[in-house]
Amino acid sequence: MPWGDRALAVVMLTVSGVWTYLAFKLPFPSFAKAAKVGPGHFPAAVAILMGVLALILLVKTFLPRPGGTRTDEGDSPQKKDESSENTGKRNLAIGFGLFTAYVLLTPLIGFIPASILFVLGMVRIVGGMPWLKCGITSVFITVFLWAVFVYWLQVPLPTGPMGV
Amino acid sequence: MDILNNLAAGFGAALIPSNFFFIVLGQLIGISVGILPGINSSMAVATLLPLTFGLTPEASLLLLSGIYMGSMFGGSITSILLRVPGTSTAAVICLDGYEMTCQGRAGCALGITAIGSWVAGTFSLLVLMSVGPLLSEYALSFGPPEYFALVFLGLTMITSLGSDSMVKGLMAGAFGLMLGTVGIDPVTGVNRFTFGQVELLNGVDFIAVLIGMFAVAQSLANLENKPGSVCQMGNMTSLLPSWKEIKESAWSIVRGSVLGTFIGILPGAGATTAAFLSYSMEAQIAKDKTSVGKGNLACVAGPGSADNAASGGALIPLFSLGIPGSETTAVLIGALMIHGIRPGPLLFTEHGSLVWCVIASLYIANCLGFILATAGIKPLTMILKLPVEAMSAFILVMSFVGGYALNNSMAEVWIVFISGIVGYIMKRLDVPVAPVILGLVLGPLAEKSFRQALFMSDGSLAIFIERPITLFFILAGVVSLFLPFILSKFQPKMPDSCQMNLEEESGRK
Repeated sequence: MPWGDRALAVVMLTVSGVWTYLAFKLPFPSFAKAAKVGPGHFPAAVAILMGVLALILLVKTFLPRPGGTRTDEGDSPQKKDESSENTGKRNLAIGFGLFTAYVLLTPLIGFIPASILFVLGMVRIVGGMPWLKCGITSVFITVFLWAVFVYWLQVPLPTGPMGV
Repeated sequence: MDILNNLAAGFGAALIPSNFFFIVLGQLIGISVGILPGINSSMAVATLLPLTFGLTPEASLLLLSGIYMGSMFGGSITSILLRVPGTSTAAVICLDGYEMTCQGRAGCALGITAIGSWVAGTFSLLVLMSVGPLLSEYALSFGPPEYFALVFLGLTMITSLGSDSMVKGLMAGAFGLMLGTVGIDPVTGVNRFTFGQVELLNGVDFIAVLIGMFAVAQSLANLENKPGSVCQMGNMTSLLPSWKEIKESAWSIVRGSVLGTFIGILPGAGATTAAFLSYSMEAQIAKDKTSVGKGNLACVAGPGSADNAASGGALIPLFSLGIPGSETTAVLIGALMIHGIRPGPLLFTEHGSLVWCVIASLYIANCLGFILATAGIKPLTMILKLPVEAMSAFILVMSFVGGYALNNSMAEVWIVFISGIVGYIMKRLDVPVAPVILGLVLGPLAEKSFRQALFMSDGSLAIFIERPITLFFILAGVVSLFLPFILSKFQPKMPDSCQMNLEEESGRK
C-alpha cells in the first residue's frame, strides 16, 4: 500500500490549506493595487496549485497501478535480505541521532570537541572501526576542517567553554 | 575577434597559479566524486559551497565548475571497470563498457571515453563561446514581461528534474515556490510567512536548503543503504585505444558531441538524457546490431561524449539567460549568488572577465581531465575503498560548517538540518529535490517580474501574449513541460544490475 504517498498528500494538502489561508490574510497596500496582484496572490496561487497536486496524488494512491504491484515507491527494486535492511535502519537511526546531538551540542561545547565526538561516534558505532583508527579519523577530519575554515577562510566557528 | 580577445584574457586569468590550483583541485575532486557511487556532482558542489565563501568569485567558480566537468568522466570510470555507475549520466555506459572490460578491453573503453569527453567538452565550449554572448546581448533588451516568460520557461524544467512521477516533481517545485514567498515582499514590503522570526525576514536561505537537501539527505541515505557494493574489477591490458579503434569511434564521438550540446542547451534535458539518446542512436545505426550490449565501442564512445557535451551545453542557458539546464547548474547558481552575481543576460557585460575566465578554465579542465584520467585511472578507483561512514561524517560536519558560515549563526544550521530531514523523506518517497531548489531560486524572480509586468499593463494579462518574445518563451515552456515524456520514449532499458546501482544514486545528474 502506498502509505508514504498517501501521508505525503495529506500533509501537503494541510500545508496548502494553511498557506492559502495565511496568504489571503496578508494586507494589500493601496499603492500596489494598480497591478491587481497583491503580496498574497502569488503565494495563494502556488499553495492552491500544491493543494490540487496533493489531491491528484491522493487520488492516484487509491487507483490500481498499471503493470505491477510495486508496494512502496521509495523502496529500491533491489531485494535486500532482512538483516542488511535492519542494519541499514539501525545505521540511519544512529547517524541521525548523532547528527541531532551534534547540532544541539556544538554551540554549547564548541566545534572541536563536538566534531571529534560526532565523527568518533559515526565511525565507531556505525562503521565498527577499531578504536585507534576511529580516533585518528575523527581528529584528522575535525582538525582539517577547523584549519581550512578558521585559518584559511577566516570563518569563525562556534567555540565552547574551552575556547575551541 | 572580440571572442578571441576575451578568451585570451580568460586564459590569462585562469592560468594565474592560484587560479590554476583551483582548476586542478576541482578536476581531481570532480573525478573522485564521479567515481564514488552515492555522491554526484550536484551533491559535491553543494557540499563544497561553504569552502568558496572566503574565495574570490573566480577561484570559487573555477573550483566548482572543475568539479562539475570532472565528475562526468569520473562516473564513466566505475561504470566501465566495476559496472557501478558513479553518476546517473554514466549508467548507460555500463551496458557496453563493462562488457568490454570483461573482454579485456577496459583500457580501450576508458581511453575512448576520455578522448570522447575531451572532444565533446571542447565542442560544447566552442558553442558556448559563440552562442552565449549573442544570446545574452539579445536578452539585454528584455523587460519584466520577457523576464517572467523566461523564468516560466526555466520553471517548466521542473518536470524533467522529476522522478517517474510528474505530480511529485511538480509538487516539489510548488514547495520550492512556496518557500520562496517567505520573507519581505519585494514589491510592497509586507512581511509574509515569517511567523515572527527575524531570521526569516530575508527569506529562507536557499544555500542552506541546498546543502541540507543535497548533502545531508544523501549522507543519511548512504548510511542506510551503503552504495558501491563492489563488483569484480576487470582486467586492464592497455590504457589507450589503438589508432584503428579511435578511427572506428570517431563519428560516434562527433554525433555524441553535437547531440549532447544541443540537448544540454534545452532547459530540463540534461546530461543523462543526452547519454541515453546517444546510446539509442548508436544502437540503431550500428552495422552489427548483435554486438550492441556486448561490448560495442560506438555505444561507449557516443554516450561518453554526449554527457560531457551536455554539461558544457547546459552552461549556455545558465550564463546567457540565467536558466539552469541541469541539476548541477541549478546548484552553480548558488555559487554565483554567494558572490552577489545573478546569472542572466547582464552576466557577460557586468562580469565578462569572470565568465571568460570560467570558459577558459573549462578548456583547461577538459585537457587536465584527459591527462588525469589516462594517467591515474587505477589509483583513482582506490577511492572506492573509503569507508562510507567516515565520508558521511565528513559531509555532515561540512554541512554544519556550511550552514553556520552563511551568517555566523545557528539559524541557518537549523535550516540545513530541517532541509536534510525533509530531503531524506522526499528521497524515500521518490520526490525529487532539485525542483525545490529551482522553485526557491526562480520563484521570487517570477513573482517580481510578473507583478512588475502587470504594473506596466494596468493589470492586463494580455501583455504576456502580445509580445512575440514573451509568447515564444511561454510556448517553449509548454513544450518543455512535455519534453521529458517525448524523450523518455527513446531511452533504452538498462540491465537490472546497472539499474540497481543507479537506484542507490541520489538524483539525476
